[in-house]
Order: sequence, then C-alpha cells, then structure tokens
Amino acid sequence: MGAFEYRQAQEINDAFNRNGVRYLFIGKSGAVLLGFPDTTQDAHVFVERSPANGSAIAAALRDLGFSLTQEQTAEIERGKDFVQLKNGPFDLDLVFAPDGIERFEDAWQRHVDVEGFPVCHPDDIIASKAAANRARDRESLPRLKAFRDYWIKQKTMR
Amino acid sequence: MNNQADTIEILTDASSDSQEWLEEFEAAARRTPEMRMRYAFIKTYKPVLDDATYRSFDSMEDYRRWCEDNLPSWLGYGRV
Repeated sequence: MGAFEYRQAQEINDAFNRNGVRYLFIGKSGAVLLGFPDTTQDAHVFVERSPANGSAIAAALRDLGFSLTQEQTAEIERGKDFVQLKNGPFDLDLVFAPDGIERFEDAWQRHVDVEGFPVCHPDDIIASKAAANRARDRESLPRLKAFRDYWIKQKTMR
Repeated sequence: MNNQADTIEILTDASSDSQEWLEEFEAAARRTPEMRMRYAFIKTYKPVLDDATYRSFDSMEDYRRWCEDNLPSWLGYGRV
C-alpha cells in the first residue's frame, strides 16, 4: 500500500458526506490540510460518538471498500475510543475521544473548512497532541504552535 | 507593516529555526491542499503497528499503554 493521497481524502469526504457522518480531520493530517508543512503517515479522523453516527461511519467505510466483520462493525457503531483500520484501500484511524478535546460538538463549532474538508481548528490539533504527551508529538509541537500563530495572523489579515 | 514583518513578530524566538519555519509556512501557504498532501504523506513500514489489519481500544489510555508495551520506543509512540 502506498502513501495516503489527496484523492483518498476526497473519497473519505464524499463517502462520509453521502452517509451523513459527522467528522473532522485531526492530527497531523488535519494540520497538513490547513497548510502545516510536515511529513506524516497516518490519516486520522475525529468522529462524533452517537448511535446514528456509528452506523453512518460503518456504512461509509463499507462504501469505501473496508472489510469489516460483524464484530468490528459493532465496535465502530458503539464508538470505541480508538479504532485503527488497515483492512481497506488505505489506512485510517478513527478517533472517537481524542485526548485534550472534551466534546465533538465543541470542536465542530471551531472547525475550519478547507476546500470542503472539515478540519479541526489548529488549537484543537495542538490540544490533542499536547494532551497525548508522546515523544513524537513533543518534538513537533513547537513548530506546530508557531504554525498556529502564523495561520491565525494570516486569517486576520484577509 | 507588511505581512512578513508582522509574522516575524509572532515568531518571537529569534532563532534561525523561526525564520526557517516562517519561510516553510509561506511556501506551504502557496500550495493547494492537494500539493500539501502530496508532499506530506509518506509510507514506511512500522513494526508491530502495521502487522494487524484492525485494532480497537476501549479508551485512549488503553491505546497509549498498548503502544508503550508493544511498539519499539524509537517509533515515538510512548508518552514522555
């Protein structure tokens, strides 16, 4: 399997929208969409935990070509905190409860639209990485915070 | 004051890193989201992590602990 591509992000967006999934790009994949220049391997989406959204996510993933067992479908519908999918056309992490963000609705209210892609606000991406407190995040946080400041300044100048 | 000067003020740390970062942010801002993703996403094999087609965790704490117990430390998934 090759690197995640823009076309696949579009496929996620199309399938999720078609099925009415409430979601946001989060993590470095979200930051990259906002303009943060860095490398990453993983696409992460923050998905709202609700029975309706869980069913919609499972349907959208099947549309995308992910092979889900009944048990896996039930786990997604139930909304386990973190689901790592490598059983489809690309790798995708579903995050129902990212560290550092209290409620999906709060993040949704702050979200940014990037050419139709719903993306977490840089403050939420930073909050989740800071709360995760992993070595890999600690390294990238100073640069990500500098990007957040740059991004906000550019927005206020427009 | 022009945009670049304003932005340099934000990057109050006067290190060479800050200037380099600013130049990188400005270059990325000129790219389309498609180009940004093309430059950003890479694929390398991650031991253990890439060896299962599906994993799920009841809590993020469970996931973090699993990473610390099972992944090579050099992958950087362990907490500081």
